Amino acid sequence: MLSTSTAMNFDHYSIPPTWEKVKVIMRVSEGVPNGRIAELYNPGLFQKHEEVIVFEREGFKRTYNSIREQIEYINKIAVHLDEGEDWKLLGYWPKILERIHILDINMNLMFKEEPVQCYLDTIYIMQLEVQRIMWQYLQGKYLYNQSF
Amino acid sequence: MKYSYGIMDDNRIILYTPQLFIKTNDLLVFPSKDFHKWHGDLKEYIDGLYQINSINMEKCKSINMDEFNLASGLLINITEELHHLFDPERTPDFSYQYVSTLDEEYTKRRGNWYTSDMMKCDMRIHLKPAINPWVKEQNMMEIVDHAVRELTMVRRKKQKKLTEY
Repeated sequence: MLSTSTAMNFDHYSIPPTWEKVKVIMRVSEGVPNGRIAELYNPGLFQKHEEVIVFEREGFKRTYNSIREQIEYINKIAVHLDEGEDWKLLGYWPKILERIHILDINMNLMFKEEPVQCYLDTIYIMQLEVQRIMWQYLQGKYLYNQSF
Repeated sequence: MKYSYGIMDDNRIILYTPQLFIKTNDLLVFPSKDFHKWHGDLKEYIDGLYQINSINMEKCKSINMDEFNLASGLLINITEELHHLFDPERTPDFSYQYVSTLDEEYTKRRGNWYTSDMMKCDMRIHLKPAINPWVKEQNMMEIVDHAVRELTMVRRKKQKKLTEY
């Protein structure tokens, strides 16, 4: 009885049998919503009664591109750093950490249900800009070469 | 971000929360388990990056080049995972990331065998010889011998040409 109570229960872990990482082939499909269902462009990819997760394409694209931009920024720094220039890292590392933090936030965003505040803010400002330009155009006062 | 789970049934998906997608017309669909695994892998890499930083904070020193190389290695893994999401047949090409010291090309010795430094050492005379008339005559005799050798070669070539015709 003692042995069963003190034995550690590993059932909820999934440890792979070898140390090799098993590469999973990711299947993606585009789709169109249609009421309660989503019609797929590529339905043969998924098996019957398979659970799927469905994202809105725009939102996913935004987060994905944001992640890519952060990585590009850090890579640019890494490429231009030479071997003996440790002292430069003093200044660069906090900036790199900022970008890693943004990376982390973006990864968390994928499973967050509230809309992103910064996106809402920019959408609102852009809509105001568009309204302003349309009003100028309708009045005949639109300046074609103006830079914003 | 708006997301919903769903279940595959007869070549279409039944969404659990379809009310989120009223205004959208474009969806991306992933298998749920695989996507969670992908997400977990990326989070692990990012945790690794944070760990590098926390070790750094404990030491109270600034980060050095080795740790930064570790971090950039982790970043390479993250980019690889990001590519893998949409291109599963992609094989990672690490040939431009590093060069193995066991690679054949780099075990061969390249470059000059006899460098300019070695030449300077050889040409520099540490004990300068005293220049006597005897040394001058020896020098002249060397030049004469060399000239004789050259001229005999020239004569032999001329005789060969004459005998040919």
